[in-house]
Amino acid sequence: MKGRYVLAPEAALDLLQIWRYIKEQSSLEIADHVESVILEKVVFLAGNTGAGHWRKNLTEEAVKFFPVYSYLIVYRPDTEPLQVIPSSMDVATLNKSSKTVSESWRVQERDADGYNGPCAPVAQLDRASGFEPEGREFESLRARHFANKESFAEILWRTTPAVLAFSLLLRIH
Amino acid sequence: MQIEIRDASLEARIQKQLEATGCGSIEEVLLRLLETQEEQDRWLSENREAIRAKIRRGLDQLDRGEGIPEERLKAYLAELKAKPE
Repeated sequence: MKGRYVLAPEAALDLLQIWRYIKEQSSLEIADHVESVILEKVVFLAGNTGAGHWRKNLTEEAVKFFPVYSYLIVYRPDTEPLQVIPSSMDVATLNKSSKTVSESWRVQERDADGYNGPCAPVAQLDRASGFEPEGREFESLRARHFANKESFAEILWRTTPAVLAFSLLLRIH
Repeated sequence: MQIEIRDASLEARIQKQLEATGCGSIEEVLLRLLETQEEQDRWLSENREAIRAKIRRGLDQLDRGEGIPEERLKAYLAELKAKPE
């Protein structure tokens, strides 16, 4: 079977970064699950390229954006064959002169204090779950794996500044 | 301003948000979603140049034919995961 997407190497490294981070912070099972959900979204986008959104205020490239958890998928909707290329944005390594991830995070923490703490990632989780009911599975996973650890939502929230822009460049068949 | 939702599936999603969040009105749902979106936009805007560069690198890799096909991705990732950090 011919693949439905193609991933840029840079994106594969980002997927790896996400997987390693979550594995370290929680468990292998959760890391595998997050990776699989991200790739499921990629497959979804491969068949539904209209699902994403243009962000012309961010880039003039012909790419669309789509959220999954606290990441963003960036994809190329007008290319063939289907290429799917996710990559997270670690700004600290992308641009050393810019604000570091930790600095960015502290800013977000302060802002978040103003409106009920770390709710943003949960809202993003809710939004990402609008297409499929995977949110329930996460609830059960969280209950099983985070009884004595920080919640999965908290991990995603802390991850957000580092990997918010999960770049997925997608070529459609 | 009057907003008419013609898409039934979109209306259902808004209704789902209304019920799930306990928001008191559609306006409150929209406000919550906008707050989330605006916060995300703020971070994206602050890091716009780095994001643009990242996207460009990915596009260049694709255009050079370096993309990893779906059928090879699992093995590719497994190889990366097996390497020391």
